Formats: sequence, C-alpha cells, structure tokens
Amino acid sequence: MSWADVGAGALRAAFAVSLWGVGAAAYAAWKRDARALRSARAVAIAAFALVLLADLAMVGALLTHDFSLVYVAENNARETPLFYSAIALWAALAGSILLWTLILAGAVVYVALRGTRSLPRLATVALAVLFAMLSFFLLLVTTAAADPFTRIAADQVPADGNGPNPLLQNHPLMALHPPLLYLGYVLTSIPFAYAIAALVLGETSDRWLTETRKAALASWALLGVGIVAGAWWSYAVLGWGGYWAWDPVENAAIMPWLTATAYLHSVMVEEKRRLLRTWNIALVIATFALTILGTFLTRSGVVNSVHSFTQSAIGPLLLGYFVAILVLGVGLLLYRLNDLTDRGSIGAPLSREAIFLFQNVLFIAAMLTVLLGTLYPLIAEAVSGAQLSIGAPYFDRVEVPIGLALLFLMGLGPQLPWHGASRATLERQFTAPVIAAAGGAIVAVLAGMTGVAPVLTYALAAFVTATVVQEFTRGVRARRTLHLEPLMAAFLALFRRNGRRYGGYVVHLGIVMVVVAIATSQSRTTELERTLGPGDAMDVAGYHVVMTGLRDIAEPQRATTVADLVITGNGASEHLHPGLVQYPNSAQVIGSPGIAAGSRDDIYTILAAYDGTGNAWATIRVRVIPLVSWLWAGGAVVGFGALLAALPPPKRRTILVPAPVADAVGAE
Amino acid sequence: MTGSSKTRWIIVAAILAVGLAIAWSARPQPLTAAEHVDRIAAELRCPVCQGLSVQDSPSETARSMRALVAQRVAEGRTDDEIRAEFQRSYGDWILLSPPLLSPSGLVWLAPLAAVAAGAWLAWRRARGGAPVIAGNGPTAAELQRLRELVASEPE
Amino acid sequence: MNRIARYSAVALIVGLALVLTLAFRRDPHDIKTGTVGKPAPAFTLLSLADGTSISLDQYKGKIVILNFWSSWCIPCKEENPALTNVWERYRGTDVVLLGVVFQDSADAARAYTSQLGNTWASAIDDSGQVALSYGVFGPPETYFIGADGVIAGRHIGPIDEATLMTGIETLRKSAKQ
Repeated sequence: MSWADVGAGALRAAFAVSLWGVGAAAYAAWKRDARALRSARAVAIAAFALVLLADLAMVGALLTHDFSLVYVAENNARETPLFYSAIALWAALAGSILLWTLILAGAVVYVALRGTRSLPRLATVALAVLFAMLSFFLLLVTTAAADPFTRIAADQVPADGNGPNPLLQNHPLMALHPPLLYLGYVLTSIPFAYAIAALVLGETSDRWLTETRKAALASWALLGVGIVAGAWWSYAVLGWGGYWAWDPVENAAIMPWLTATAYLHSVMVEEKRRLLRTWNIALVIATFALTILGTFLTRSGVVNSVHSFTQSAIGPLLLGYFVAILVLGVGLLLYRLNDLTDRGSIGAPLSREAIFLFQNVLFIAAMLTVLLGTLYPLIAEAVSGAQLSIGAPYFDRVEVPIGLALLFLMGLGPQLPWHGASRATLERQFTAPVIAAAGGAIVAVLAGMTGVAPVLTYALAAFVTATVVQEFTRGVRARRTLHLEPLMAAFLALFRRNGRRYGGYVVHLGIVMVVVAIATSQSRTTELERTLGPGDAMDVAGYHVVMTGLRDIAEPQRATTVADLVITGNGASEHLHPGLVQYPNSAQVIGSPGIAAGSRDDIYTILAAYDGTGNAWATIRVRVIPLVSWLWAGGAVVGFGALLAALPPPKRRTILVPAPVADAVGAE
Repeated sequence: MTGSSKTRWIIVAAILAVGLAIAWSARPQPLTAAEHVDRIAAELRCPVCQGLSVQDSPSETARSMRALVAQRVAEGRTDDEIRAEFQRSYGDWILLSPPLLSPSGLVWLAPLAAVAAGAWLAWRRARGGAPVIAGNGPTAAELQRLRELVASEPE
Repeated sequence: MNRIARYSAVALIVGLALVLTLAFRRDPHDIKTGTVGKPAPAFTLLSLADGTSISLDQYKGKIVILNFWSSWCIPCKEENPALTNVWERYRGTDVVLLGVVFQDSADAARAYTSQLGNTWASAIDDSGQVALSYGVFGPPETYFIGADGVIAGRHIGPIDEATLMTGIETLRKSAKQ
C-alpha cells in the first residue's frame, strides 16, 4: 500500500463519516436524542483520526520523496532538507487545505467533547454546523479541487522533484507562520457555529457568547501572532527591508483580525450591559466569512500579480461556500432581528460603551477600506475594463489616520466608566496620561522625527502607556491597602483575580510597541547603495561597512553567492553575509539578506548585484532600520497578554451589595 | 476648587504642547533630490513584483525605473510629467493609488464616508441614552449584574 | 430601520457575489494596458555585435519585430530558435527582426548570441530605459511594429514560429491596403 492509498482512502472515509456526523448531530439536536449525540461524538473522533492519518501519510510521502504524487513531485526534491520536507505539507495549496481540514476536525472534536456537555442543545446544533464545514473541506481534498494525493501515471514518475518554492525553503519561520494563521482562521468557525446555533434555536440569551469566549480570544490572538510572524518572515526572506506591503495575501489575513478585534471589545458591552447583541452576531459572521473570502481571493488566482502561476479549480467552490455562509448567516440574523432588539441604551458619548462603539466603527471602516482596496481593481476591470492598482500609498494614507484615532480611543476607553463620566473622573483619569502625551511628542521632536503621523504616534503611544501604568499602579496600591500584600504579590494577584482586564492591558502595551516600531522604522530608515570592490567601504548612519570579499557556496540543494561584510560603529561589530541564492529547478534568484538585529537598530544588508564572471565587485544595499525588532517583540507581548486574558477567573464569591451602593457603582 | 482648576491648566498646557510639537513637525521643509525620487518611486508599482513599489523593490526592473526617475528629477521635470511618462508605457496600472480627481477617486471618499456615517450612527445611539437608572429602582436582574460588576472589579 | 437593514444586507451580498463572479472570469496575466495601438517609442542604441548605433528611425516604412531578451532568461533560450528561423525566412524583405538586450551585461549577451548562433542583430539597452518606454514587464517580450510606426501587437513570454508568422503576415496585409 502506498502513501497515496492510505491518505486518499482515509480522506474518503473521513468524508463519509463527517456526513454522518452532520446528520447525527442535527437529529440529536432536533429530537434531543442522546444516542444520536453519542454517535456524533464518536464520529467526530473518528473523522479527526482519519484526517490525521491522511496528514501523516502526506508527511510520510514528503519525507520518503514519493514522487509518484503530483504534490510531492512539485514541492519536494531529493536534496530538500528533512525539516523543509516535513513542512512542505503547507508549501502549496492542496497541502495547506489538508492541514486546514485537520485543524477543523480538531475544532469539531473540541465542540463534540467539551461543548456538548456544558450547553447540550446549542452545542449540538453548532456541532452539526461544524460537521457541515468539515464535509465541505473534505469534499475539496477528495476531488480535483485540492486533492493532495493526485498520482502521476506510473511510467511518468520523475526521478527527482521540483523542490519547494525557493521562498518557502529559506527560513525556519515558514514552520510557524502558516500553521498559526490557519489555526486562527479555523478557530473563528467555533464562535460562528455557536452564533448560527443560537439563531437557529432562537436562543436570545448570551450564553453562546460566554461559551465561545476562549475560542474567539484564541483565534484572535493566533491570527495576530500569525500576522506578525508573517511580517517577520517577509522581512527576513523577501529581502526588500520591509515587512508589510498590503499584498492581497496580507490583506486577507488582516481583515478578519480587524473584525475580530472589534468583536472582542463590543462583546464586553453585551456581557456588561446586554446591548449590541445583533451587532456582535454580525461581527462573528463577518469575521468567519472574511476568513473564507480571504482564502478565496488568495487561492483562486483572482488577485495575483503578473508573475505568479497558480490556478486551481478550487475558486468556484470557495466562492459558493462564501456566498452560502453569508446567505445563511445574514438570513438567519435578519430572521431573528426582532428578538434581538436591545432594550437598554448606550451611555453618554464619554462612557466606556460609547467608546467601544466608536472603536467598532473605526475597526469596521479599517476593514472595509482594506476590502475595498483589494477588490476595487477587480470591480473597475469588471465595470469598465480599465486596469489599475491599489497599493501601499492608498492603504497607508487611509489606514494610518484610522489607526491613530484607534490608538487615541485605546487610551480613552479603559479609563472611562460605564454609562458616563463626570468631569472630576475625567481629570482624575487623564491628567497624568495627557502630560505623558506631551512628553512623547517632545521626545519625538527632539529625536528629529518629521511628519505629523510619527510625532502623533509617539504622543499617543505615551498617552496609552501612561493609562496602562496608571491602571496597574492603582490596582496594586488598592490590593496592598486592602489585602496588605507585598508589591510583587499584589501585581501578580491582579492577573489572577482579573486576568481578562489586566491581560488586556498587556495586549495594549504590545500594540503600543508594534505601533512605535512601525512609526519609527517607516520614518527613520536610512538607506545607501554602493558598488564595492573587495576591501572597499561605505558609511551609513554611523556604521562603517567594509566588503571583504565575495564567495560562492555550493550546497546540494542550492548555490549561493555571498558578500562578506564587516560592520563597525555605534558600538556594533558584526559580520554579515547577504547573498543571492539560486535553486536548480527555479529560474528565480532569491535574495537572502544579512541582518544584524538590535534592540535599537537593525542593520539590513542586501546583495543587489555582483560580478558573475570574476567576483570583482558587488552592489550592496544597506538599510539601517530603527526599532524594527520591537515589532516582533510587540507581537509576542500581544500573544502573552492574550494568554493572561484567557486565565480562568477565580471562583466568584457572591458579594451582597446594598441597593444604594449598587446605584452608586452603576452611576460611576 | 483651586486644586481642580490647577489640574485643568496643566491638561490644557500639555495638550497645547502636543499641538505645538505636531505643528513643528509638520513645518514645510525643502525636499532633497533623493527624497524627491523616493516620493515618486513610492507611488509607482514595480511591474515584476507582487504589489511592491519601485522604491521598495530590490528587483532589476525597479532599479532601472528608479534610475529613470532620478534622471528626470535632475532634468527638472515635474512629478506629473514623470508619472505621465510611466503611465504612457504601462497604463494607469503603474500608479499604486488612483488620483483623487478621477472616476476612481471614489475609493478615497468611501472610507471617509464609512467613518462619518458610522460615527454619526454611534453618536446618535450614545446621545439617545435613556436615564441610566429607572425611577422604580433596580430590578433583580440589574442587581445581579451590579453584583458581578463589583465582584469583578478590584478597585 | 429593520427594513433598511434587510435591503442593504441583500444588496451587499448580491453585489459582492456578482463582483467576485465577474472577477473570477478574469485572467490576472492579461495586462491590457500599455503601448499597443500607440506610436512605437523612438530609440537609438548601440549594436551588441559591433558597437555601431542602431535607431528605430532607420527602419521607417518597414515592419519591425522588436524582441526583448536577456542571456539569463530561460524562456528566451527556448524561443530563440523560432526567432532565428523566422528571421532566415524574411531576411532581406520589408521585415526587420531586432533584439533588445536589457538587464544584462554585454559580455554575457555576446557569449549567448554566439553560442546560439544568432544571425539577427541585437542592440544593448544598458539603462533599461527603452524597455521601460515600451512597457516591458520582463524578458522575453515581443512587439510587432507596423510600417506606419504604430505598435500593432505584443506578446508576453516565449513566442513560437506560428505566432510570429501570423503577426507579420497580418501586418503585411494591412500595410498593402
């Protein structure tokens, strides 16, 4: 039996089993039938095991270089190192969908085993929805759309394969970035399935929402960290010294993240005040639908550049799936609209819930801008036949002001009480932050920043940081007086007692780091390009760069030419080796930048061109990029903050509050 | 309350300082030739890349386009003339953002309209707030909510 | 309010589905914009073989096939026999085949032409500005310029004999009318 037999067989069995799961779960929910539910649970485990088997078969085929499979022949070669052979599972479309299916099967198991115990009826309907999604993905991987186990005719099996796309076998981050994103994408389907279940059952309580809080938080955090990992990968591999290009693939990832961020905040309004219920369901549906839209846009070849060559039959199926999701989600939402009408009302414009509302408006506008910018060239061509581009200049100009406004609200919102704020509260909460903002602006000007956006970013970053610091000091001080705890214990207790709130502040600090890194690296990068002979030098931003020579490095799977650079100055002493890599089965020459990362500056060197005949000269481009490493660190802080926010809350003791006190708390 | 009015003055002064810093950073500064080239190159699409600008791309094509832009800047051509030259060869496709005054200028207005409409709706909802606590006092459900509020907030 | 929400939701879904379906029928490789239908940009370059100057003006009234290539480009090597064959067929007539080397070093390009035995002339576009003025994306690309000096057609990627012949004969027919 070959790998293909095992894999294809397992997927077909999984498809049958998954269809049974749809029926069993739906029947169990309809008739409240315990036997059907048990069957659905068993089937969930079976489906997961079968898909896992298929994924392992694919990894096995890659590791053993089984070139009788089209996927292996196209994405693997005998010389591909073990590590890159294994992660070639997600180097191309069919394998990526296979991994996606595995994660989705995992989500099915999670809901089948955990969810159906705490909220039986609701979770069972959600389970049926998830089984239906799983069936759709299994349909993709068992038909021509994305069959990873397509075989090559026995007499045409090549002796060696093409090897992975050179860009995808150049950096270990490739092992991290796609799975993180897929995890984030797939986990959005859990809140979606529950929301659909709540709508189907006419369940007007917000239990579905508390039940899916962890999944929503996890999907948001994984998407965010995955996006940052992707930016880091593109910085370390693509060799242009940037990390974000508003490429359709990047846009596809950021859109669901934007709506998910809006949701994480507006959901608090629903939890605390039972408001915005329709809106929250709409955000859940939008987030999930955007993950599918993004996959459609990037995987169907609709918005690719001229020089990419992947086309697949998967397009129409994904488009149909996307439309079906929208029709189902929006249709049900409209059907239940009257049951979901809010009875209370939002507080004054300067209340926490109103700030959440404005914040949501900005996040949705940011998402719509990305969507419009990505789709507009398609619309224009469909309508008038004109071909045009929308890229960084457009997105930067629109998204930066929106981002700055959001940064401002990020400082404002957490400092405002629910319902509304009095003048005294405003003064108490904002004196220190506003002074900090002035300090941030002055620092930016003294550091020589020019332009409104970077200076405003510094001012707002200081503003937000001050609000977070203020929250922590007040929290710690309160605990120290109330519980007589030592400093560190009080600090840690904040996370233990209210991880969601203080973890959220840590996330905000991570975002501040990211924003400062972006503003600084975008506005203060110094760049110089020179053609040097061996022994020649150039000076960039206080660094002295000497090219000592050019070398050719032959490896079995690739040929590399590197320039050896010695960099001194600003207290640094670095040896860097930017190169150009040629893979035998690709016409593309891949730049491999030499990067010296630092907490202050990154020195980013590129071998732009070299003398191919005698290694007599090389054109070296040096970029000194300040604070860019804060971007990756900020991403990690965001992920860590999300972990803290997911800490289980301690058991609640009921505190009896006399009515007058309750009134006072409510008003504050 | 003198203490409060003093804080008020501090807040006003700090906001003023932020405003001044921004005004200072926005003062018009003459562009160097290299900055001028960068500005134009950032608006041009590199034909052989995945949506990268000519300024960002390390590709050979982008290098020759940058060189051509630098030459035209040195010759004293205006930005519009330089852009038009590339548009003649590659069409509107070569510009990374559509001009405001064109049929596609709509893409610039749409986000503005979205923010304005959304903010208006949100503002209306926030203003339309009924009195926070009804005259009859809190209901059992509201009381429960308040208890949770108190229990969850350490302050 | 609810009715507005209903209508706008339906309109949004239908609109999005429509746009995406229309977009799906489009070929992202089909770049329509460019210099086709416009007068061919003039240029004067140095000949790769002997350094004499070659300008488009000197072929006024002739049909010019302009082929942009580089020695490092693999598809260029693929299409090279087709170009040479067609050149041999039309040599000395009203048809001129001119290669333009760009993004390449003169030495590498000369080694390439002598190795492949090219009988047709090429000019070297050192700065790449001629390629830019024609709107070239990357090698190889072939432009068909009519006797009237207008670019009649363009082919992106490796070209074959049949495409070259059809292009030339169409131009010849339209020149006679």
